[in-house]
Amino acid sequence: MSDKRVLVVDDSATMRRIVINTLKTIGYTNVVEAADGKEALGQIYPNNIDFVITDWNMPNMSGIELTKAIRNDGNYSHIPVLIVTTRGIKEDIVEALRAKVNGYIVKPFTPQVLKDKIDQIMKTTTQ
Amino acid sequence: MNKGGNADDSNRIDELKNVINLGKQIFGFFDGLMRFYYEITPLLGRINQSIEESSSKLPRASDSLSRVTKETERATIEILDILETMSQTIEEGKVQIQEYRTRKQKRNDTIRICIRYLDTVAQTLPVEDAGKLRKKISEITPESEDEDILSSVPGYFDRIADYTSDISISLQVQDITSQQLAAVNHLVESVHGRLKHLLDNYSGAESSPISEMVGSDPSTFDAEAEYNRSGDKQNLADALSEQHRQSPASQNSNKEASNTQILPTQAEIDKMFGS
Ligand SMILES: [Mg+2]
Repeated sequence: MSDKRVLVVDDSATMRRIVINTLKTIGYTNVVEAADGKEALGQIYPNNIDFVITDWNMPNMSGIELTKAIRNDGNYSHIPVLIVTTRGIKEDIVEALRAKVNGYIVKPFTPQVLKDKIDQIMKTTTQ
Repeated sequence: MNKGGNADDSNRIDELKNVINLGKQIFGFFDGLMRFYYEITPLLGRINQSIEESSSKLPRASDSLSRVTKETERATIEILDILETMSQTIEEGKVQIQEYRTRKQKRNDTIRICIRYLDTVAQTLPVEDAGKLRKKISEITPESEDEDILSSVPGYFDRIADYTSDISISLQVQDITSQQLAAVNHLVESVHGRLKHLLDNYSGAESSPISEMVGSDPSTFDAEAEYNRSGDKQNLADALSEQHRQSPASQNSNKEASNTQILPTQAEIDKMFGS
């Protein structure tokens, strides 16, 4: 069981549910959700978020814009961001890496992939 | 009259003839154009009416698509609720089986102690009675044959849990189809907006600028979203992320170094994936 607080951001209620269910099975029960990047930004401070898992295509603010906003905020720039998206062409992946995401998952994903990425990010960001 | 004067007159007459011929041609052209206009005007009216009719149906088509997305999302979440309950039930079942095995183990331990005790008692009995007692003791074996069956039950539970997780992977299709529907919706809304603009122009009504007629924001969905479980795209993302991670600038991410320079070029990416 992890005490890390995870923020799950996706405009699809189905995807939020799938990610949250998967997180529970791998020991992350402290989860907050948001339906777009703008709502997510408002959740980071009050919930003391340790980790962000975000979709890319969303209304109001995309996952890439959210990542950039986090990276440009001195208080939160250290928070790891894992992007989970249907987009999987080279240009998209490179764009996300340039925006400084810590991990990239293409939908549809398996629970094992989500677990591996989180473990990998936790290992490299808490060193 | 001199020779030169005759030639000038003849040239003027030729020019006049040319002008008259051109006039005839132009007149013929405009005459055709007018006839075409008179023929096409009722047709334009009919096209206009037909566009108006189909255009009025487009918002309904767009609403229907949005409803499909909402209803499939609701049904998908219901399935996810059931899957979650199943997972919890599986976990409870595993706990119960473990509890049963622990209690059974304790009981077996007690039985073993009793057998040892009875065996000691048998040594003090007359031979015939001791034989009878030992026969009874052999019947109360603590190692029941159902232990191997029982020990395989958690494995079955794990497999059911794997199936539920497989179903939840498949349910991600809902997000993918909803993005495909959003792309169609965007197209429907754009067509509707442009038709409305044309109709407004035709009827002389004040029309909105074309920029307001492109439908929903295309950045809110991925028109290329596809349900593909091959893992190819994930492998590409992993390879690019790994290359990014191993670059020196990335390992020193606290510095304000731009990581643009450390990302692979398009040529490198193409070489890496043979495309
Ligand atoms: Mg989305």
